[in-house]
Amino acid sequence: MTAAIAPGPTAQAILRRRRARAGWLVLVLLALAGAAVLSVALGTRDVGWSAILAGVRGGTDTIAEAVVAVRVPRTVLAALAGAALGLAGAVMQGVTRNPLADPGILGINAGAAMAVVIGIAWFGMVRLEAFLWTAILGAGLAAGFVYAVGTMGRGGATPLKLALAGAATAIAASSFTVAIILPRNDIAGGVRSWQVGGVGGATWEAILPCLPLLAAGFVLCLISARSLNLLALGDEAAAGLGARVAWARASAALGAVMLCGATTAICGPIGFVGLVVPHLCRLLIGVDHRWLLPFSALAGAILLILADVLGRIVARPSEMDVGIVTAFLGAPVFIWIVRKRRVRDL
Amino acid sequence: MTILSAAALQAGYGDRTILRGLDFTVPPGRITAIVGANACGKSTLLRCLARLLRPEAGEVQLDGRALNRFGARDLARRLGLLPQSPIAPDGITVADLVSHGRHPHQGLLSRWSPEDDRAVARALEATGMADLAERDIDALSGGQRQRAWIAMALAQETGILLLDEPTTFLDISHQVEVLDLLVDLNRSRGTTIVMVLHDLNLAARYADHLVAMLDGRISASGSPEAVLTEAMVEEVFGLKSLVIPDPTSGKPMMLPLGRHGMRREVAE
Ligand SMILES: Nc1ncnc2c1ncn2[C@@H]1O[C@H](COP(=O)(O)OP(=O)(O)OP(=O)(O)O)[C@@H](O)[C@H]1O
Ligand SMILES: [Mg+2]
Repeated sequence: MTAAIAPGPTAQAILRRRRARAGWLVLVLLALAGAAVLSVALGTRDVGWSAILAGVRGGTDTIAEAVVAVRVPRTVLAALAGAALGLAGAVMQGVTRNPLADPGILGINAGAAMAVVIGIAWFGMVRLEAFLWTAILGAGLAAGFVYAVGTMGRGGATPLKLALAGAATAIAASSFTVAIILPRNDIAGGVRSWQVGGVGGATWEAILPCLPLLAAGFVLCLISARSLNLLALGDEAAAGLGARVAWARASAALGAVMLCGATTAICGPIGFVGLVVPHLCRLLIGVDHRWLLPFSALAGAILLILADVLGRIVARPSEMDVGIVTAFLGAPVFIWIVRKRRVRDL
Repeated sequence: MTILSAAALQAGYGDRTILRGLDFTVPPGRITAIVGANACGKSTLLRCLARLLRPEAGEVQLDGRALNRFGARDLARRLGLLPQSPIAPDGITVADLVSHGRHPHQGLLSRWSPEDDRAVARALEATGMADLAERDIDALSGGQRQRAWIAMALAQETGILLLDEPTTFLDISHQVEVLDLLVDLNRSRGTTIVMVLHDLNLAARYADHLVAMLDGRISASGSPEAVLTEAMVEEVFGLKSLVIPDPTSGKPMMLPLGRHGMRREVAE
C-alpha cells in the first residue's frame, strides 16, 4: 500500500456505487442459478428429483430422465439467447441513443429470419452454419435499412421514427416470410418457428456451431462499453473527448447484429427481451455501460429462461413458444417507456 | 504553447460549402471570441478546428502537424471542445458528467487515478458546482447544466479549449461568472481559449482577440478596439449602431439602433 492519499469525493462515490453494484451482481447470479434449476425441474411433465439428477448427468433410462436430459440444452440455449438479446438491446439503445431500440422492434430479428427462410426455400440451404451466416447477413441488412429509413427527413434518427421504420420492416419481413413458407410444406421448421421464436427442441448439435459467433458478438459488444458512455453525450462531445465515433458505432452495431443473427438462426425471432432487460437494469445499476452491458446479458438470460418455463406451464399439456411469452411481457414495458417524458420530447 | 491554425480552409455539409477559403491562427495563450450572424459558419469553423468535420480543402494544424495525424485520445488531451448543444443523458450525476472529461487521460484498462480525482474536484470547484456534484443532471436548471458541461471541459485539462456559445441559457450574472472563470483559467494555466459569443459587448470586454465572421469568411480580426466598430456591425449584422467606450472597461461598447425606442436626436 502506498500511503495516504485520501480518496476524493468522486472516488468515494465510485467506491460506494461499486459496492452496491457488486451486491446486485451476486443477486443476479443467484437468480440465474435459480432460474436454471427451475427450467430443468419444471415442464409439461412432472418429474421427481432423482430423475432430475440422473437426467442432468445425461441418463436416459426412464422417460422422466430423458425429459430432463432434453431440458438441459434447452435451458442453456435459453440462457445464451436471452443473454445475446439482452446485450444486443442494450448496445442498440446506446448506439442509436434510442430508448426504444430492440432487435425485435427494429426489425432485425425479422430480417434475419426472412434471410434464413429465403436461403432454405430458394437456395436449398440445409446446414446450420449456412443458416448462421445468412441470418447475420439478413440482420445486418435489416439494421442498415431501418437506420437509413429512420434517419431520412428532418431531425435525423429520432426514437419514434426509428421505431416506426423498424416496426414496418418487421411486419413486412415476417409477412414475406410467411408468404414464402405457406405454399411449401417441405420447409424445415414450418411457418411457425420462423414467425415466433422458441427454444423448444434445442440440441447440443444446434448450439455448438453458434458459440464462436456468439462469443465474437459478446466480445465486440462488451468492449464498446466505454465508447457507448461517451456517445450518450452526443456525437460532438464524444469526439471531443477522444472517442472515434463512427468506428465505435460500427463495431458495436456489428457485435449486436452478430448476436441477433446467431440467436435468430437457432431460435427464430424473439422480441422484447432486448427492450425490457436494459431498462430494468438501468433502474437497478444506472446508465454506466461498463456495468449495464454485462448486467443486461445476465438479466436477459434469466428473463428468457423464466419466460420459457412460464410458456411450458401455462399452456399444459401443450407449450407456448417463448417468443409469445416475451411479447406479452414486453408490450406493457414498451408502453411505459413511450409514456415517459423524454421519448415524447424527442 | 500550442498553436492551432487553419489555412485556406474550405468546409461544409454535403454539397453545401459553408467556409470558403478561411485563414485563421488562434493566438496562443490568449482569449479569442468569434462573433457573427446566425448561420455564418461559426460552429462550422469550431468543428473543423476540433476535427469533428473534415475540411473539403485546406488544412488545420496543431503545432505545425496536420490535425488528422493525431490519435483520437492524443488530440483530446490537447484540445477540448464544448459543443453548442450537447446532450445530457438521463440518470447521470454532475460528478459522472465531469468525470467523462478524464476519458482521454485514461488508458484502455487503467482505473480511476488520484490525479483524475483531483482534476474533477478542481473543475467542480472552479465552476461552483461542488455542492451539486451528486445531483442528477436532469434535476438542474439550464444555467447549472451549462456550468456542469464547462466543468467537464475543464476536467479534460487541455491546453486549448474551444467553446461554442458557452453562455447561452445563462442569466447575465452567470454569463459574467462563466466568462470570469474562463479568464481565470487563461491567466492561471495559460489555457488558450476560443469561444463563440453572441453578445458583442461581453466579447469585446473579455476577449484579447476578436474575430468577426461573415458568410463563411473572416471579415475582421484583431483587438476589440480595432474590430468592434460601427462599420463592422453594419457589414456583419446589417445593423446600424453606436459604438462608444464602455465606461467600466474602456473597451468598445455597441448600442444597437432600431426603428423604435430611440431618442429623437439619435434617430436623426
Ligand atoms: N450538420 C449540418 N448539416 C447540414 N448543414 C448544416 C449542419 N450544421 C450546420 N449547417 C448549416 O451550415 C451553416 C452554418 O452553420 P453554423 O452552425 O456553422 O452556423 P453558426 O454561425 O454557428 O450559427 P448560430 O449562431 O446559429 O449557431 C448554416 O446554414 C447551417 O444551416
Ligand atoms: Mg453555432
